[in-house]
Amino acid sequence: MTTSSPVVVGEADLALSDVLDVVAGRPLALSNDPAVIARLEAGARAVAEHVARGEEIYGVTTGFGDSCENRVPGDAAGALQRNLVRYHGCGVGPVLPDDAALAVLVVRLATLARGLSGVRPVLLRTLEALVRHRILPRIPWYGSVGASGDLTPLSYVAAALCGERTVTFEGREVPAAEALAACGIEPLVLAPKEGLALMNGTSVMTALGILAWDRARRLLRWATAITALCADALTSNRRHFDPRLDAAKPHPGQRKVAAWLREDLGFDPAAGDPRKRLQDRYSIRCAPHVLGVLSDAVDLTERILTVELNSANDNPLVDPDTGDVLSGGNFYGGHVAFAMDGLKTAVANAAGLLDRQMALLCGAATNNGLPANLVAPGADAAARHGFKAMQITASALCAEAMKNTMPASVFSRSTECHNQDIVSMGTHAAHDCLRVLDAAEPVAAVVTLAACQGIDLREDAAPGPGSRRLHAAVRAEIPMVTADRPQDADIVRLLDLYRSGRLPVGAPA
Amino acid sequence: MGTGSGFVQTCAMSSTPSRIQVGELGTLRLPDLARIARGACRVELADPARARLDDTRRWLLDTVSRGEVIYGVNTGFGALSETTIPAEALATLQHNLLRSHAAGVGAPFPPEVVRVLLALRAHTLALGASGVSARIPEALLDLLAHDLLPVVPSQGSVGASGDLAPLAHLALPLIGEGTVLSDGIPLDAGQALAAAGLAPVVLGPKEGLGLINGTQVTTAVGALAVVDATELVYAADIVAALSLDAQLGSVGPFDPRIHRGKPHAGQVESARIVRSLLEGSEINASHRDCGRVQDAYSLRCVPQIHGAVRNALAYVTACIETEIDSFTDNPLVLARDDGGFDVRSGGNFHAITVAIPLDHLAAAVTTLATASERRTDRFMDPSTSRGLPPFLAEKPGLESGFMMWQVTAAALASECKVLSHPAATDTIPTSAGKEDHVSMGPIAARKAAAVVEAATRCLAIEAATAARAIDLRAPKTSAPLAEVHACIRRHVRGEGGDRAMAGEIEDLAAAIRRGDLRRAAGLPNRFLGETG
Repeated sequence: MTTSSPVVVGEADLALSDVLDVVAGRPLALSNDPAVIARLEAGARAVAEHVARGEEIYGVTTGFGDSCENRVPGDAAGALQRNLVRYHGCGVGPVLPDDAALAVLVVRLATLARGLSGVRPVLLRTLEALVRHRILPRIPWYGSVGASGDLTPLSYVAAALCGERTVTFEGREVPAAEALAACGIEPLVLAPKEGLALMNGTSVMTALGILAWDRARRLLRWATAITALCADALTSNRRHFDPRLDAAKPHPGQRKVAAWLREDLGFDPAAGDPRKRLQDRYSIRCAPHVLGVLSDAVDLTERILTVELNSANDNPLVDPDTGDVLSGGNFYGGHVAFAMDGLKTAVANAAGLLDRQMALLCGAATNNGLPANLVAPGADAAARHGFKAMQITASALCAEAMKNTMPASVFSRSTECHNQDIVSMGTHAAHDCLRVLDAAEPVAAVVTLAACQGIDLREDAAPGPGSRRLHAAVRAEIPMVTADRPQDADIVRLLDLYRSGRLPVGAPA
Repeated sequence: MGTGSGFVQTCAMSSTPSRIQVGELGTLRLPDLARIARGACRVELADPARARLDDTRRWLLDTVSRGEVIYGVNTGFGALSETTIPAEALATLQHNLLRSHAAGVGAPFPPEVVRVLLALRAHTLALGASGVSARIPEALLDLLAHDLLPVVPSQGSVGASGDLAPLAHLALPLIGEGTVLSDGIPLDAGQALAAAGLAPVVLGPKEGLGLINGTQVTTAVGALAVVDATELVYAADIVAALSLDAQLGSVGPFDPRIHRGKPHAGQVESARIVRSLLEGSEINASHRDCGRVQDAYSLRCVPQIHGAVRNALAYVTACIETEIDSFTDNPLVLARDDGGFDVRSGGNFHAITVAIPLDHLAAAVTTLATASERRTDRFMDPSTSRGLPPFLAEKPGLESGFMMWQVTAAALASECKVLSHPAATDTIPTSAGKEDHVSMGPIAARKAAAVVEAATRCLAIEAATAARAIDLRAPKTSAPLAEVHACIRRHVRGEGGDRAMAGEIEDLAAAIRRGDLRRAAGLPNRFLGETG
């Protein structure tokens, strides 16, 4: 990432990594291309002309949702938008973390820059300024059913643009008007349609989905590196990862994970493997099949979220070329719901795999000659328990991950006077996916520590290059467990290493 | 998910009257339902019930003839309740109700469930608050007496306002419509009635509604699952004791002082049962000084795990028994102290009162399955079975022994877990939004029945595995467990060597359902009121 080249919004399609880059500090710029600006202006002009002619346009000169039969006179069209933002200020729960709030701003900006929402360039400029100055709306977790979009959470974005409610600015909660003034930003006065255009869409679930996708693909690579480390600690049979096996069942994810394993283990199929065990247990032997599903789920998620990120997902849409107003249902978050429901299940399965590897490492009957519970040798060994409680922690977290995998999308609720009679629950699916990741990442940390201990305890250990790198990086910060000691701080330190990108687990591809 | 047929072979043995009366509180108990399910008794209307029905009916007909508007009697149904129906159309209204509401789909309920449905519906009507004439419960009991069993699809009820669709299928044959099974053969109901010498009923005001508004499908399927679950919880204690002995487990954790220290009733009872079964075991005596300190949880915590299930089952049993004796119709015709009556609209058709307990039953019985699977697993590996051959095979390697039975147990336990997701937490508004919160009770009931069925097979696998392990230990087990072992051996043969055992395991599961293991262990089924 170079800080000098901004991510440009309004021209080419964005990649998910562009959103992540902006969250990580790369600048963002709305396109200055006159054609892009002219297109935005044409859409906004079309809306103004419809209003001036007294035409009936949903959400512009009518009430909202089930109230769409109420006609709103042209001179109240601005007030209608202000009211829309205000009455949706009923979110509940904790506030989204800063990175998520920032991602929501970027994703919403990308949507509106498609030029199909009938909003003025000044609205996008103001949104761009919020991103530049990190003026972050305080968006509550709960209140969206995921169709017609993330109305209530996005109302907090709209309110911040208008200088209403509070925002997070320079680490503090301050009135939005105050933050805007401090940065010399004029609060937006909403023109007809603009409140609806800001709020009607899938940007919260998409933003959360992008963050979850990034964590999942990184966890995929880490879980693969852990599997190699476990295989080395257990002296597992590397021939299970012979490329001819994967060529015979060529799911792309399975092949990718098996290739990573060969790389981490330093396994050359032509050279064979002196290790004796004929068939290892499934949690080692079938790792490419389990983690391969996660890999394919990550890829599918990327495809779905990329389409969603580069979509006009509000309603109605305004064709800037003809001025036609198109009422449809692009705010419906079904694709994101499906992606997140699938991804969370694949992540929980990866956690389950790692938990089983932990069991192999700790059990004297399964760890191929290591001490039970990875207790380091010594005269007082009988009085020590090594990794016993760490295994229980991994199992508890694993159950936590698994029980959050109930699909969200099947729990549609008819709401809003039965106008929204089927909804996506995509935002809840994204919440679930983040919660599953919150549980799965510490499982990975626990198993990493245990596998490093296994390597230390095996006198003739011959770890592959990936395992050696990972083991060395862990040991540079966290010593082996000899005397029993609390390991909670070790887990936290390892997670810090991982989350800051300093744990050499290989790059997600 | 099934239709609640797992119950088929349950039977509480003889010494009980061959006639059962309905229409009085407390006359219809769970063991009675078990006998009715098997078609093993005559069900009659109690005389006081008939008199009560006549009084109520006379008052209702007088009131209607004076032109007063009563919901469902001379109005439309559900969201159409504001439409008043003229007097000359009142019979058509009730017949239309049965026809329009017979909207069930899916596999029909088995005969056992349908028999219980007929009895339960006759019972609630005969309790006297529905305003139907005595010939209505009598007609239901006539079908039962002739074993003409209405074909009732198992899907289509949301459990409020009652199990409308399946009960409409149950009631249609009364007016000579729909289909009945006679000796397993489907017959046109009109022809079947004629062949049996029975006349179709012409429904009067309210009688169609009275036939279909209620919770009997949820209650019937749930009640039969509860009966099976009572046997299962005894079998779980008994089989766990056998496993514990075969695993050289310790009897110490069953010391009564431990359980007085955490005196949940179920826990105390399970500990007592296991302790008494292990008394006199030579196996147990042989390793008294082995130095092993603590067994794994699935053995050591049997009183806590199974005890929690016992407590849950006691709660569920009480809820089902209350529901059996309930007015579940709407509106109700309620007697006043002065001899008059009031019509009151309420919501007693809402099956949430049994849906939540049945969701609870499914989760509880799943726990029996997951603990049993863990005990079975401990026999597979010499490091956990304390020296028994791998998979209990005679020639490990050449033979796989019980390897796959643990896999089957794992599959069953997992299926139980999936079916433990509550049904009653979902609700979908129906009837144009008027029925805006429903119970999903029949789904809870069918799920609970499916869990009980799977868990029974899981226990059968553990029983067969433990019996094999007992054979491989030289010293003898206790006298009561030797009886249990012999009972298992009547279904699962004892010789070693690989063979296809599926039929034997199914036989053993059926024996567990019948309570054979419990009787072999000399234990009464206290949930069903037996005393020892």
